[in-house]
Amino acid sequence: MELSTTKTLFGKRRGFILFSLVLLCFCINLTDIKWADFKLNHYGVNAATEFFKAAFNPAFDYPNKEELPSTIPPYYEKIIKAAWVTVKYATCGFSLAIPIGIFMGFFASRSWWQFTRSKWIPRATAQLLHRFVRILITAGRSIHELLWGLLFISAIGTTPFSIIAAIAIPYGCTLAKVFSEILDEQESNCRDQIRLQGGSPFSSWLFGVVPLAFNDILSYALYRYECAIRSAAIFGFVGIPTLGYHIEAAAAEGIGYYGEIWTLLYVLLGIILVVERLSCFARKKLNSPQQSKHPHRSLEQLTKYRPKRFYLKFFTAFSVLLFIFVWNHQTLIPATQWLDDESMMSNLSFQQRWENFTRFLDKELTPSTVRNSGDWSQAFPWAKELFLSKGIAASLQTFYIATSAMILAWLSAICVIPWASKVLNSPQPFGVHKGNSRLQAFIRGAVALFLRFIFIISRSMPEYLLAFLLLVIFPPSAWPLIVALAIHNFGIVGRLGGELVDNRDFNHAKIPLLQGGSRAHSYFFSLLPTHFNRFLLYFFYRWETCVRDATILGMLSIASIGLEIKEAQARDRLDELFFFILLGAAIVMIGDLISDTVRSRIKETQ
Amino acid sequence: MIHLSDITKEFGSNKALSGINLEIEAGEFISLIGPSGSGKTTLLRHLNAQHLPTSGTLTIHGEHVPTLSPKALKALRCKIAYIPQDLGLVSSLKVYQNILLGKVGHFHSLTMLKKFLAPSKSDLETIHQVLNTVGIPEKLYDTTSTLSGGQQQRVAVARALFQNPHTILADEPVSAVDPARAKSMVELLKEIATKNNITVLMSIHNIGLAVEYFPRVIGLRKGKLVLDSTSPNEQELASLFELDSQDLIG
Repeated sequence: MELSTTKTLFGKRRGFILFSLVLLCFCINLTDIKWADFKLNHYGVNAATEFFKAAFNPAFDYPNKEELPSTIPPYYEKIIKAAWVTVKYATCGFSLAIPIGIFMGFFASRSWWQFTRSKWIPRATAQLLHRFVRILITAGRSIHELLWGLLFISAIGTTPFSIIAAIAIPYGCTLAKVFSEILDEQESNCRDQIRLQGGSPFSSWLFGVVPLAFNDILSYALYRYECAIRSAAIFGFVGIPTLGYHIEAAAAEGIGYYGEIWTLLYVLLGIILVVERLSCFARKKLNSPQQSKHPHRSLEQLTKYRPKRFYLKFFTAFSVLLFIFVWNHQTLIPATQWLDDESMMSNLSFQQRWENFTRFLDKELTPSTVRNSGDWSQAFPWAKELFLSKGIAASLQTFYIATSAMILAWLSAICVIPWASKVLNSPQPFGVHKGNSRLQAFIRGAVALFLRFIFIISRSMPEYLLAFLLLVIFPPSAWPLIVALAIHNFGIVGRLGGELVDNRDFNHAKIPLLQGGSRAHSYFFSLLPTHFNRFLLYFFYRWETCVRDATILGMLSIASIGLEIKEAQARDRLDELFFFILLGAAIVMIGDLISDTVRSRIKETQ
Repeated sequence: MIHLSDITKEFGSNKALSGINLEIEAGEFISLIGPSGSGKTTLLRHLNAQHLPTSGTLTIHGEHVPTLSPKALKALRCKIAYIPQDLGLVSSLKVYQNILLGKVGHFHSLTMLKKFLAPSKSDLETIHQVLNTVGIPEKLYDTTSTLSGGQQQRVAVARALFQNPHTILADEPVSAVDPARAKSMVELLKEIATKNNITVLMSIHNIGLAVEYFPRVIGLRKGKLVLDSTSPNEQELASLFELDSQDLIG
C-alpha cells in the first residue's frame, strides 16, 4: 500500500475550511471592495476616536439643552419612552406571532398526520395541506420584517398596526417553521406506545409528542422574543419612534451627539440582556424536573406537599398581563404622540385607509407599463428589464455579502470557542486535573468570562444597527455590512458552539488531556473533528439568516437589493419596490433551500 | 383465549416466524425465551396487532385479529397492555400523567386532555392505589425523568395496571437492569397477575428467572417454536442459546 502525505490535506473537514477560505476571497473580490476601504480618512479617524471616547461618557441630558424650549420633557423621560415603545411594539407583534406560529406550525408538522389512518383526514389531504402551509411560511419569513413594514406603511400608512403586523408575520412564520421541526424531530417511541394502548393518532401526538417538544418550543419562543426587541429597535430607521429612531437622529446630528447614541445603545443592550437572562432563567427552571422532598405516602399529604412551580405561574401571569397592557390602545398613543405634534395615529378614517389600501393593491403595485397600457403581457418584459439591469447585480452582491460575513463569523467563532468554553477553561477540564496555579486558573476563567460576554454583546446588537454605526465611522463600502453581519453571527455561533462543548459529557475529549495534551489539543483534535457536522449545521443555519439580513442592509445606501428597494421607495415607484422585495424573498428562499438540503444531508450522516 | 395456528411472518425474504402454534389461557404467566433474533419480539407484536401474520390464524377472545375493524382493534388494545423494552414513558411528564395515559384509548382526546391537566380526585385515588401496588406511591407528583431505572419500570407496570387489561405483554422489560431489580420486577408482575387473573407474556433472556418464576416457558429459535414446557430445566433452556459458527459471525 502506498502512503500519501498530501491526501489527508483535502479530507472532508479541512476541505470545507479551505473551500470556505477560497470562497471568502472570491466573494470579497467580487463585491468590489478592497482592504484599503478600511482605511479611515481624517474625518473618519476623528469620528471613530470621538465615537469610542463617548462610550465612556454617555449622555445623561440633552446635548443642546439651552436651545430647547423649557416645555420639553426631561431627558430620562425621552429615553424611557423610546425604550417602552420598543418593548411595546416587540410585545404586540410577538403576541400575534405566537398564535400564528402555533397554528401554522401544527399544520406544517408531519408528526400529527404521518401515521393517521382516519378516513376523515386521508394522508394525501394532510400532505397537501402540509405542503401548502410550508410554502406559506417560507414566503412569510423570506421577507424581512423591515420590508414587511415598508409594504404595510406604503399600503395603509404609518400606523402601529403596520409595525405590529410587520413583526407578527415573519416572526409567526419563523416560529411555525421551527415549532414544526421540533415536533417532527421527537422520538416516536412514546407516540407508538400510546397508540398501542388504544389511543387515537391525535391522542398519541398530543400526549406522546407535544410534552416532549414543549420545553424546546417554549425556549425557542423566548429566544425569538429577544429577537423581536432587536427588530422593533431597527424599525426606528423607517420612522417609528423606537430606540433606533433616536439613534439615527443622534447620528445625523454629528460628533456632539455620540454620547446620546451610547446612552441609547446601553439601554437597548440592557433591555436585551434582561430579557435574555430572564428567558435563560425560565428555560433553566422549565428544564429542571420536579421531585417531592417529603417522604409522604398518603394521597392527601402528597397532594398538599406536591412540588409546585410558582415561578412558572408568575411568569405566565406576568406575560399575560404584559400582553394585555401593551395591547391597550391608550398606552400605545401617548408614547408616540409626545414626539411631535403629528401623532403616528394620523386622523385618517378607516374608510380612507381602506381606499388607500385598495389603491395600493390595484394600482400602485401594478407594473408601470401595465398601468399605462392596461396590457398584462407587458409585465414580463418590465420584470425582465429590471432583473437584467439591476436585479442580477444586486442579488449577487447580497449573496457575496452574506457569504463572506458568515464565513468570517464561523471561522472566528470556532477558533475562539476553546478560550471561551466554561468547561475547557475550568481548573479541571472534563474532570481532568491540570495542575494550574490559582493565578493561572483565575486568568483562564476571566478570559473565558470576557469572551462569553463578547459573544452576548455581539449577538445582542442588531446587525442593521451595527452596520449603521460602522458606516458613521468607515467610508461607504460593503465592508461595514460584512463586518456588522459577521460580528452579530460571531456572537451566535460562539454561543451555540460554547453550549455544545460545555453542556455534554465528552469522554473522548479527556483523552488528549490525559495524554499530556493541552486544552487546545483537546478541542482541535478531539471535540472539533468529532462534532464538526454540528458546527456545519450552525454554519448553514446562520448563513440562511445572513442572506435574509443582507437583503435589507443595502438600505443603508450600499449596493445590494436593499439599496434598490430604498431607491424605489424614494422615487415612489412602489411597483419596483415590490419587485425587489420579491426578488429578495426569492434569494432568501433559494438560500433556505440550499441550507435545508445541506443540513438534512449533514443530519443523515450524523 | 389467545389462539395462534400455523403463524408465519415474513419481512421481505426474511422469515421472522415460522409455523407457530400456541394456545394461551386466561391468567397464565408465561415467559418467552430465546436468543436475539429468535422472533420473541415479533411474536409479542402479533398479540396486540402491531404486526399481522403473513399466513396463519390469530384469534384473541374468539375474534380473528387480522380482520378487526379500527374500532374493534382499538377496543382490543385497550384490554392488552404493552410494556416495551424502553418502557415508552414520556420522560418530561409527571408520574401520574404517564399512568393516566394507560387509559388513553378509553377517552376522546379532549376529555383525556382535561383529565391530564386537572385530574379528578377519583383518578388520583386510583393512580395512588396502583402506585401503592408497585411500591412507589410517594412518586405520584414527581417528574418521570427523575426516577431511577427500577422505579421507571414500576411506573410502566402501574400504567399497564391502570389500563385494567386482561393481558400484559412485556418485551424484555428486565434486560437493562441488574439481577436484583430484574427479580423484584418479575416477582411484582407475578403477584399482580395472580391476584387479578391477568395473562402475562414476558420475553426474557434470563434462564434462571424463567425457571424460578414462570410456570410455563415458551422457547423460540430462528423463528420456530422449539419448546413449550410447564417444567423446563435450565440445561434445556441453555441449549436454546447455543450459537453455531454462522451466528457468531453474524
